[in-house]
Amino acid sequence: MLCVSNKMDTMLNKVFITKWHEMSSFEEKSNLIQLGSMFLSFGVYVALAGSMFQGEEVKLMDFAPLVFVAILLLIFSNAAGHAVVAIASRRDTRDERDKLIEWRATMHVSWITPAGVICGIAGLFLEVQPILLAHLLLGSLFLSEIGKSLFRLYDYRSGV
Amino acid sequence: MMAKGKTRITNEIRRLRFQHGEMTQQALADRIGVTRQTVNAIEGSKYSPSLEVAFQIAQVFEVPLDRVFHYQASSRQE
Repeated sequence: MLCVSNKMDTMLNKVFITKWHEMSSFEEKSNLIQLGSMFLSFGVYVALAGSMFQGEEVKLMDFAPLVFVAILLLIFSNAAGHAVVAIASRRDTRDERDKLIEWRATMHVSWITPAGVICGIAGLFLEVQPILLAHLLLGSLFLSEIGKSLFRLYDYRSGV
Repeated sequence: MMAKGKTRITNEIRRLRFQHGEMTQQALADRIGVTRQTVNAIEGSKYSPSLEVAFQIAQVFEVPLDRVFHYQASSRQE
């Protein structure tokens, strides 16, 4: 078991720069917190909205409290995570590598939100239900942000 | 064949750090205004710094830039 664990560690160290806890900067931890918060809030939203869709007929306004809860969850989980990291680790300022990584990630996902908007406009022409269009736009927004965080994570780990 | 994620720019930062009283990555990072993780990435040829940071590194070690960084031309260019 120990041998497998050591092999796994060596393999991970080859893939990534070095051990995770030794390497991650404040910006990288911050990115992880954002990713976790987005998965949490979007996951809760999808789970609850999914159950609402399965029930009786729903109106767009029925989802408003759910969106509000998801946003609050996103804000509070982000704030709590950042507070913990700020207390526990050294607070580094963003440097040129952080900016480059953010720029690269933004470049990779910049098409997602516009694609969602274009699909939304097409949906209006095709008279798709507003409730579906709203979720299409919300989904593209979340997907774009989650994708951005994942690309940032990849660049932080593998190098740019 | 270059490993994925590696740049063509190699460097002598690790050797220079040890020649300068075993300077830590954090100490170098503080002097050039970047994070320790960035110094580590530069040292491991995982990230090519801007010219400004490259000059700052050379200035810390009091050597010319070409004593710190080397560019490996590709076989196609050769």
